[in-house]
Amino acid sequence: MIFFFPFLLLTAGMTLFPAAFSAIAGRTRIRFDLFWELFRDGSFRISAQVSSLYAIFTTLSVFFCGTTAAYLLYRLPRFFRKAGFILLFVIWALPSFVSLPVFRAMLLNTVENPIASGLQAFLSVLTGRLWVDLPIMTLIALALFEDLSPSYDESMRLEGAGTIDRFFSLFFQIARKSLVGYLCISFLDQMRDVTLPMMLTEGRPLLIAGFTPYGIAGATTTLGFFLKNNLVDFTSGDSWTFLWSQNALVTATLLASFWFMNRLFRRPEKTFWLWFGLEVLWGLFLGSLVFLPALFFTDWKRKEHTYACAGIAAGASLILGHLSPFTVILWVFLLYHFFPFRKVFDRLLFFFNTALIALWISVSVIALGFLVWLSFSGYEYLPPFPTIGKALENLSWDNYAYLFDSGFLVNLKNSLWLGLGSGALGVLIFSMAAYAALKKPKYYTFAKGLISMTLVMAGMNTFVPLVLTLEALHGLNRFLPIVFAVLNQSAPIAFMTAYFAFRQTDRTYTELGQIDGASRWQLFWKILLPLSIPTVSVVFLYIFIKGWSSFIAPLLLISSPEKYPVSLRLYDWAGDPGLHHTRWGIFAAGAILTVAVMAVCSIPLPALVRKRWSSG
Amino acid sequence: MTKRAILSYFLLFVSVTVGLSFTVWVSWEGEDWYRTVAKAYAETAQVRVEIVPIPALDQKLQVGMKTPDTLPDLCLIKSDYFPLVASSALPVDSGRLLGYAGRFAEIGIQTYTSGGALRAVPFYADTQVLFLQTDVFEKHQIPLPESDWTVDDLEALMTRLHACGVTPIGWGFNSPYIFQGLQEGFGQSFMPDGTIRVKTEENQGILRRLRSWVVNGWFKDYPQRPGLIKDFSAGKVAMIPQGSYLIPNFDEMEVPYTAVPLPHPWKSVIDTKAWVVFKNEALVYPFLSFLFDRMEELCAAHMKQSLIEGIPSTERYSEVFEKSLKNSLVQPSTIAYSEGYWTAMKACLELYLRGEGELQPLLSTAQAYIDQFQ
Repeated sequence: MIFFFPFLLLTAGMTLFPAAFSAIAGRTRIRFDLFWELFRDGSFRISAQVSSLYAIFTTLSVFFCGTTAAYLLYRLPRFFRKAGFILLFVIWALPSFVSLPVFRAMLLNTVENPIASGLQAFLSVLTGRLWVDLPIMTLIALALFEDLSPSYDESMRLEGAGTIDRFFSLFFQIARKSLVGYLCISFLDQMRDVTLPMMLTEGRPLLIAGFTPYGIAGATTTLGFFLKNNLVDFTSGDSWTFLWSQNALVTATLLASFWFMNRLFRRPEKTFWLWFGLEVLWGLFLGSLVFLPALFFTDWKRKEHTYACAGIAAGASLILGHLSPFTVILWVFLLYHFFPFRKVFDRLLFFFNTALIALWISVSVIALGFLVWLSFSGYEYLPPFPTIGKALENLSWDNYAYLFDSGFLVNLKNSLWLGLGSGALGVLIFSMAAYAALKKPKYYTFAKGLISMTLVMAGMNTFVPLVLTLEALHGLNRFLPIVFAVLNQSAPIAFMTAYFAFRQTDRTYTELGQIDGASRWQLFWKILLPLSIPTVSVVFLYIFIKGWSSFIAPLLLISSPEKYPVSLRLYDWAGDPGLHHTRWGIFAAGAILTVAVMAVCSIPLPALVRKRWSSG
Repeated sequence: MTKRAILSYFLLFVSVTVGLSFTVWVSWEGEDWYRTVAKAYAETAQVRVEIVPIPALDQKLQVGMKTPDTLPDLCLIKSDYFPLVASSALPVDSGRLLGYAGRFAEIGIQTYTSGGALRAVPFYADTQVLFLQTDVFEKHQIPLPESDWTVDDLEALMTRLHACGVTPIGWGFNSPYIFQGLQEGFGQSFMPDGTIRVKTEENQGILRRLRSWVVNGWFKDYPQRPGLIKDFSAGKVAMIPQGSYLIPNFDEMEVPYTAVPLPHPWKSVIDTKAWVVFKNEALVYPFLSFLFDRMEELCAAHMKQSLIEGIPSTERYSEVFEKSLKNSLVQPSTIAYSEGYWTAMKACLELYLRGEGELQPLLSTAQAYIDQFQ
């Protein structure tokens, strides 16, 4: 219990208490009788469907590409591996309020109208998400592969297995088993994603069925963005009842999603019923219409018949061009399980992933080049891509000089404290909790419950009670509460990553330690933690970056400019989400300095990630 | 008045001896200017003014309204945020603004009056004008419009430009910021009692007219502003109705442009900013007077129009701005407007102008959405 206690305390203080406070304050405002009406409402339905599709596509594409990229990196010669690692780290280290404006600028310089059609807008948002999320998935997968004893790979190679076969038979399987928890969390995170749809498409293009008196939704409106719009809309009005009911409905939906995602990755066919039920409630899409009689006339308890029904439903939808999340899921499922030419499919998938990785590298290199160029230019409004001749005109150090004059170094120092403090404390808390969960499965179940609550409940609503409490305790304008907020935000992924890494470790060592009479603390600190150094380093990096680039917590908990981290200064220069007042030159210079300092601070970490446990 | 003056001098004296300070939250343009003024004020009055630039002010204020002790002494807001802060803002005591009492522009007073009292000190405004790409007009030898022109003249001009192969006009289909000026020019949706009625004959008429512009190829959708600016700079679109705050950007980018008032009866939307006093009135008002003494620099640097009468104007387009102000629309400062109207009309405009819905049902849904707030 003592190992689990800090995690419990953190979640209780940062999520449960404020959420309960918030719920008690608003309990009289929730009208459960509105639930059904809201649930049936077109705006909610479209938003839920878009969220599901968006979450499925982003989670799967990031997972497939990330594991492929990690495998390619694993096999590359040392120099290229290092270069790849640096590029991944730099893009990962770019906070979203830096990376997304840059991505948007590039998008607007290459595509005339990113929201000309629903599909184009959806693809733009997907590409943006892939660009932002690929590094962390690759680094986690790489850490897992580094943990693997080389003898497995070698023996497969000696048996004549090719590069792609080894990837799918060994590496991919390890990643799939180890990252289920991470993928579930990622799925939920994508469902409530706000930043990307807000900055790239504003949830547009809108759909006629998504425009109702209760809300507005379009082809890229995720549940998070949908709720944010309504939260903003109703915060100050008298429509609290509506707000609370809608908020409660979305919370319930996200909790349900978390539950069923656990099943989806293990027994996908078991979740068909849920999708099917949702589609029946939401207007009888073709997929569900065909699925129902097909199931009725067959023995649905037999797995093969379920597959056949899924095939018929998906086929009918495909022929008639009637798309819905259910039918898309059926296709993906059937394609994955029943594609007749498995080897060809694997190869196609591998090459497709490799092409996406090549696209990612190009976008990253162009984005960084663009950012560096902007940092030396005097532009205040979004400039077009320069020609080579023009790019070298009127460059100066003025933006950097401005940063030094305006106290940006103090902001860097503040961010460093936040990042390092969060990273160190986070590794300790989450590793200890993961160790406790490994020892006692009931803690794992308990932790999953806490994590799901953190994922769906922590938000702007929990910040108000926090600010009130901190104010009473004279805790405002201090770094420690921000560190706790960062840890709370990082908890789901950090805990799951640490837990699965510990689970993968060879138990022989801990058992030997136990026989030798080592205490639980010694087992944890001297055996388990060193064995998992690569993954623990990634967890540290993850929390460090979260702490470094945290925005909402410093915004709400700090009101003194000398305590501002870089995130607040950079966001200020980026202007509002519409980027109407962006000071591009200063913004880019600040972003470059930020990434440079982070890279310098993290120099020892890549070495740790690459360090094999056997030599550690 | 004398008592207040004595009190102010007394406070200044106290501040010199005790070392007083207060906090000011600022956003948008002019952060460096505020710092310079605060520094000068500290040297003059021996009162330290902490300028705190706040990114995402709306989120900070939303939490601040529920935790009032965390609010600053003074805060710069835009009219959209006024309904949120009005109940916590102290009524403006104009008498303490030495030299500026009674000099606020009427539009500022209208916007920031709540419950019969002025609750924010009007500061500056951005005005909508029509920007013209002069290279396009010169290339096709089309004369620039006179300042007293009408929407019919605009349509004639669009016909000529379109015939030359240029996109005549562009903005985001879903922009109520642009549409409401047309709406209030041709009819009335913002009622004197504060309610909003969008399902009107006039609105249907103007929306159909806009749709015909789209169908004729005169009016192009630019979902995001950077794309619009890029095409305007390159001469791909000849006219864009936008806020005057873009002028410094155009100058920086060396875009060949000029600005004219919107054609009659299309009204210019005035986007205003004002100071809200949350506490510490005695210290804050002398600072505001000090700030107003210097605001000419801010207006010149960022093309703002002062909402305090008598502040000398050095703007190049002051004549255009004055004309625009005469035919202007003050944005209502109600929740029904900032949250209901804005959101609902965005959707309604986008769907109708893209040809994805019938006008009547769309306006009915928009009205139902707005009605939840009124």
